[in-house]
Amino acid sequence: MKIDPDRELVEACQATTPTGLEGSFRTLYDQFKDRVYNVCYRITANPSDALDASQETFGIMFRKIRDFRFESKFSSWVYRIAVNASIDHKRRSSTRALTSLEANTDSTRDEVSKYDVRDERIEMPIAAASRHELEAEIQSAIARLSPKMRAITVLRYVENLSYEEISESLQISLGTVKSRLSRAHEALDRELTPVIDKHYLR
Amino acid sequence: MSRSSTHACPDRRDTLVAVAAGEAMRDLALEAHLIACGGCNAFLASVQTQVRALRGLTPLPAPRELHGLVVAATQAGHRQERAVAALRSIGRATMPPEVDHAIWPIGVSAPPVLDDLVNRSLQDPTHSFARRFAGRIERLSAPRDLDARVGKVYEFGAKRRERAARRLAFATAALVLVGITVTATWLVARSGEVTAAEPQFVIERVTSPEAFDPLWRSTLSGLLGGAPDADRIVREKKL
Repeated sequence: MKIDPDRELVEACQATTPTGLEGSFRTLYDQFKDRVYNVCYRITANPSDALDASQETFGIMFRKIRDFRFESKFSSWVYRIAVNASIDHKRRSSTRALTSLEANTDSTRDEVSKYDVRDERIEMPIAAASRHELEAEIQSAIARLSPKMRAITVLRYVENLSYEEISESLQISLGTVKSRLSRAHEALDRELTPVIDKHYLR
Repeated sequence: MSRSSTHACPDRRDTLVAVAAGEAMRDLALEAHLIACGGCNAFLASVQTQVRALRGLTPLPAPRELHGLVVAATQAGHRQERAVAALRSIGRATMPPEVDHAIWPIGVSAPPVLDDLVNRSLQDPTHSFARRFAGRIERLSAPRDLDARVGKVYEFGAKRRERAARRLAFATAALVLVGITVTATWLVARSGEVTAAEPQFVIERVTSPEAFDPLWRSTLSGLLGGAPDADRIVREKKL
C-alpha cells in the first residue's frame, strides 16, 4: 500500500484538539486551500459559490478529520468533500444559473478578474483580454457538462489526478472513470470546437 | 462544428482519451489502427486539442477571504463540539424519593375505572380511541334562528298539504262524475238497444177530428195551436 504523503500531518491534527485554524490545521489548510478552491471554482463556475463551497469543505474536513481512517489517500478524501460540496452548492444556486449564458459568462469573467491576484501590468493588455476570454469560454463549456462529467474533467485536467486517484476520490471503478471521461470529451467536442477554432488553438 | 467523436470506433474511444490525457502510451496496435482509421485519428487530434485547452486554464489562488471564512467555520465547529462534549459530560442523576412524595400525595391511587379503560383500549384499540375522542367533541345547542326556520318550513308544508288535499278531492269528484256519466250512458245505450229494436207504426186514415182518440186530438191541438180542423188538414194535404 502506498504511503500517504499527508499522513503525518493528518495524524498530528487527529492528536490535537482543534481550537481554531492554527498549528497542524493551519499547515493542512495552507497545503490544500488552492487545490480545494480551484476544484470548487471550476465546478461551480462562480467565485462566490466557490468560496462558500471551499468554506464548507474545510469546515467538514476539520470536523471529520478525527474519523479519517486512511482507507484512501487523504487528498482523495478532501477532493471528494470538495466535489460534493461544489455540486451541492451548484444545485442549490441553480436558479441563479438559469440566467442567460451570455450574462453568466460576463459576470464570471468580471468576478474572475476581481479575484485573480496576478498583476496584469506585466502582460500585454490584448493578450490578457484574449486569455481571459478563452478561459471564460472554456469555463462555460465545462459548466455545461453534467456535474459528474464536470467533476471528472476538473480532477483530471485541472488537478492532474491519475485515473486511480480519480477513482478513489469519486468512489467509482477505473472502468467508470475511463468511460465517463470519454463521454465528457465527446460532450466537450461539441462545446469546445468553436472556441478552439475561434482562438486558433489547433 | 466538428463531430469527430461520432466517427471514432466506439471500442477505441476510452483508449484514445487515455492516450490524449497522458494516462496510457501509444502501442503498435493503436498506431496501426490510427493509420487505417481516419475517424479515430480525428477524434484523437480533437481530444488532444481539448486537453491542451483544459490544461491551459490558469490555476487560481484561493482568495484572501477564504481564510477568514474557514477560521469562522472552524471556530463554529469547535464551539459546537465543545457544547456537545459538555452536554455529554453531564451525568444522569436519579430523582430522590422525597421529590416523588412531594409530587404525588400519599394515599392517592389510580381510580379503578382506569383498569377498565386500559383493558378496553388494549382489547379494541380502534373503538376505544373513537370513544375517547367522540366523548371530547363539544356539544352545541341549537341556535334560536333554527326554531323560526323550522316553523316556516312547517307552515309552508301544512299549506302545501292543504292544497294537495283540495286537489285530490276535486280529482276524486271529477272521477266519480265521469264514472256516473259513463255508467249512465252505458245503461241508457243498453236499454235503447232493447226497446228500439223494431219501431212499429200504425197508419190511421181519419176523415174528421172527432174520429181521433181524445188523447191524440189534444196532442194534435197542442201542436197545431188550436182545435184541429179536418177540412183544413185535407186542404193543406191537397195543396
